[in-house]
Amino acid sequence: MFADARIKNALESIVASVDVPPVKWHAIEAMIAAPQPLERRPSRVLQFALAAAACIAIVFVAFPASSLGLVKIIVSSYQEAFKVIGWTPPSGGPKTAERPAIRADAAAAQAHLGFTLVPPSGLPADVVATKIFTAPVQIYTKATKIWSTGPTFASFSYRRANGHSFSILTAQFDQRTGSPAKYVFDAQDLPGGRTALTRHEKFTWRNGDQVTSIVSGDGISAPEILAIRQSMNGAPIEGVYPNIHDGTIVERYLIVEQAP
Amino acid sequence: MPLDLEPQLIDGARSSKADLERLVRAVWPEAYRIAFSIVRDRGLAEDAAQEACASIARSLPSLKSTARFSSWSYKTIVNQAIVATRRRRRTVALDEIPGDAGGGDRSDALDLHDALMRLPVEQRGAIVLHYYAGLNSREIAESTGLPASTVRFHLMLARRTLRKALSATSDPSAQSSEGVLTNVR
Repeated sequence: MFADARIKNALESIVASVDVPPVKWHAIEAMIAAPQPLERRPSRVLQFALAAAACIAIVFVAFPASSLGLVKIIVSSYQEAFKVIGWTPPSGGPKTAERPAIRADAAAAQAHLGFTLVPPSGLPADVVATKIFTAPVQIYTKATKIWSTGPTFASFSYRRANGHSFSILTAQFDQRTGSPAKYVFDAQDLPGGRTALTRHEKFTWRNGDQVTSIVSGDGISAPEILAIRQSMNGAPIEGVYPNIHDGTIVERYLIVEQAP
Repeated sequence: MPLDLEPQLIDGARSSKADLERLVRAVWPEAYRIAFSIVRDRGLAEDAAQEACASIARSLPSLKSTARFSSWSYKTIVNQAIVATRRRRRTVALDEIPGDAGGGDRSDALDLHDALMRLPVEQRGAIVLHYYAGLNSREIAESTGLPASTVRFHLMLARRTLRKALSATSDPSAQSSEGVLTNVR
């Protein structure tokens, strides 16, 4: 049909008229080499916390520097898990969360950051860099229950010789977030509706106006993180929980993936 | 089609890094153009095209026949563009249309572009795969995971919209949208 031919011709004309930027082979190469995430059901904690935004993963949540002496416990429900870690999920979720953008290198990431980037150094010898991405921080203000978009952060991903991986997060220092969270909790489903709550130690320090944080785990140990901190000349962050500044309590979320 | 690459290059890219780079560089312009035609955002299009190229490279060993590379690649590119669009929807102004619609009918391209950007992203992707990449509804269904009947329905609705956009000029057949279903392969 004539209309079909016109649609086809017009579409070809539209496509042909697009100016194409140079291919960033090294960025694509890094994406090819990057380990693919395992398909796993998102944590029900996260589903509960951020269902409205359809977010499926959070790098860290500003949990309190809890005095929990445990590393892993089994609790009867997710509500019980909230009680254990002393955290109340925020209401709803950010209406929009910008998709993380892959950057070819630290210099390319710096162009999108509002702080002076101090790239990670002092990494273990077997580490291979796999990906750098940037995305804006999502900020939840408890007093108003309002989400807002904060400055852009950068995440550096690495893979170890043993196949494990870890990330280093760099973000702009924000006085409102107070003292950094000491632990990150990972919640996993268990048969019978129970929940396994695993505590990971989180290390945070400042480099000028940059906040650097690494979560210990299979990919990197606490001594290795401390070596990185020493190499980067990291300074401690003073503060007191809860995160109160000018009467406002905020939690900072670095959302790294969104469900389609 | 621009993605009808030499079988030797496709086969070589399965095992040779140099050939893989050549293949990605060959795919890149088309991947970006298709992605941009769907998402209309340069940053998003670049991300989607990079994801598509990486996905194609990673999945290349599982490609059974080099003859299917073109259609398989178009599906991957369009899927990545649709995912990118769903992640970040935005309004596109007419002045974002590229300045030179080289070769084709400029007024048709403008009309169609405007109408295309008003379509839901699923219909937009189906239109690109059908009219540009030449896939039929069954092939589109395979890539999107939707039933073929749903794809045909998307195409029918999209064609109705696009034909209306073009009908203001001269095509009398565009006034009727009946029977479109039967015209979809």
